[in-house]
Amino acid sequence: MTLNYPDKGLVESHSIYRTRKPTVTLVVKRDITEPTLFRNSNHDRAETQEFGDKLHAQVNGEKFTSKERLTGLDLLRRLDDDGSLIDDEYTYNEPNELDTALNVGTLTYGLAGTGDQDFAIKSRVVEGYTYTTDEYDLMNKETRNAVYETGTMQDDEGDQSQALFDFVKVQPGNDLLHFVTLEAATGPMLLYVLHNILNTGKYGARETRTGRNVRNEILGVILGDHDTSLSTGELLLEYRKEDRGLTESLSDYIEEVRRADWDVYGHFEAGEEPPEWFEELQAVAARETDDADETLRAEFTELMDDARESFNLDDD
Amino acid sequence: MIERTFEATLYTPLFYSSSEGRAIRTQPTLSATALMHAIGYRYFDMEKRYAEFGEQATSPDYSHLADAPFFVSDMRPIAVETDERTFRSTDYRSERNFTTNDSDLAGQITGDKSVPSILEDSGAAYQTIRNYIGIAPGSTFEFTIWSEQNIPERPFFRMGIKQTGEFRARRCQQDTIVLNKYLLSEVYEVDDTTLTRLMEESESFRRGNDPRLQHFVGVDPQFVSEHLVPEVV
Repeated sequence: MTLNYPDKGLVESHSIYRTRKPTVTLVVKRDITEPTLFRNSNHDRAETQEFGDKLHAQVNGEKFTSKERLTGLDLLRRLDDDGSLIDDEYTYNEPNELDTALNVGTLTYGLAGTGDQDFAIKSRVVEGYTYTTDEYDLMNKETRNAVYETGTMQDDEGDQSQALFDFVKVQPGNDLLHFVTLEAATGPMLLYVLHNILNTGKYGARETRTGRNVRNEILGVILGDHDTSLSTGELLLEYRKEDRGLTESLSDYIEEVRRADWDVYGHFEAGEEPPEWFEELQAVAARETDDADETLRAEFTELMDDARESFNLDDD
Repeated sequence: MIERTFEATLYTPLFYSSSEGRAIRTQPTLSATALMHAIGYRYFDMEKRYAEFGEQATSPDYSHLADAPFFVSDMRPIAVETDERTFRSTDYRSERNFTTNDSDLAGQITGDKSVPSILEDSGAAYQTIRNYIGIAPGSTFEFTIWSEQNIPERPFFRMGIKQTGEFRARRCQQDTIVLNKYLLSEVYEVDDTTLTRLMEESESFRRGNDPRLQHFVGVDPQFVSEHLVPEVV
């Protein structure tokens, strides 16, 4: 199966220098299905931001990107049978040389060399800050015994920890609406990002022990010849109305800020019915079709060949 | 030449290293060099390099701004909160986070004990934390743009570390023009005579502890459009 990509929003092939930067924005709804702890400078709760009279949890986009990047790397390792998609030696946090660090993940999400070779690949994906769409209730605490600095419940003398520790988690029923924008990306990069979003279900602190806590859903897709960026903060601050549901508010927002060159698809007022190419792309990305793995492998191989050529690494 | 003034509202925390070190602080006045890139990439087909190598990957280069078909002022703070402190990161010297059973070491990390004065000599086990102090959402700024070609009525752009600062701007009445000395002297190579004139035509000149933090404040709009803009655009 070969995939069809739209004429708009994407670039035809990989290149390092670009003046034109068509973009695609994915409207992602992240449903919280289990209590989830997002934390930052406060170790027991998320940051907050007040919009209207309500306190919303504020989450750094990195908290999503980092997990999604790992999902992607896992896929590349699974698909790769000859080392052409991802180098065996590649470790995402200690990239030494460009040659071994080049893969679909680094091309899409960017990378800075930390070894002997200086290089920097810019990210084509922007996942900005996001906020819970409903109130973040700070009074809703979960209390645990606090651990010592060593990570255990006992101190040097073997005394049991007596202190208590509160967590304030984002509760199920609350959502995060996130706009994920790809700038000057190729079709396979969009496919890769879609795959990572649709196949990542665990975010936040302690995700390895709490299990699947977030379910991602693609509400819509916006294609443009230029910038199609949207902001969750702007949506919540300027367009969220109590008497209008979330998708209605989203629709109002897009309607208001959309530019003439945008194609908007999604099951809401401002959007057209999602076209066939997008349904196909989503099915492959979610690995729902029988030949998904072959299609993904073929698409990524094409991107890698393209990229090696533009990085002048295709001689070996 | 079209001259337009905008009021931009920030909708997410913005982190921008006006100064670096243990604390990454963002100044309330946002530099024109950053705004030139944000606007240039989005609305003026400015070339973006998605990969850089060697020296270019590690040191900033602003020379391409001189070819841009537009010019912007610094972003003057109208109502700005600069106490947003939402994330910390470990310094590059200690990429690997660690857990330790050594109580002396733990004491040094939590600040109960002093750390060696020269961190560079102290081995990988010392974790240094950077605090990012940024600008809070809801803050507003004013900037003016001069160009042949128009930009949208309500432009949207991103700035800052990881492009997290999301702005939407709308047209407004011009109040005060703040110009960036670094951009004018180092990028556009405006001569000293013009810069001296510019200082005379400004209400004040604000100095900072970095070359990029020197601003001409309250510049006479007529002088800018008649003498400066024709020279730089």
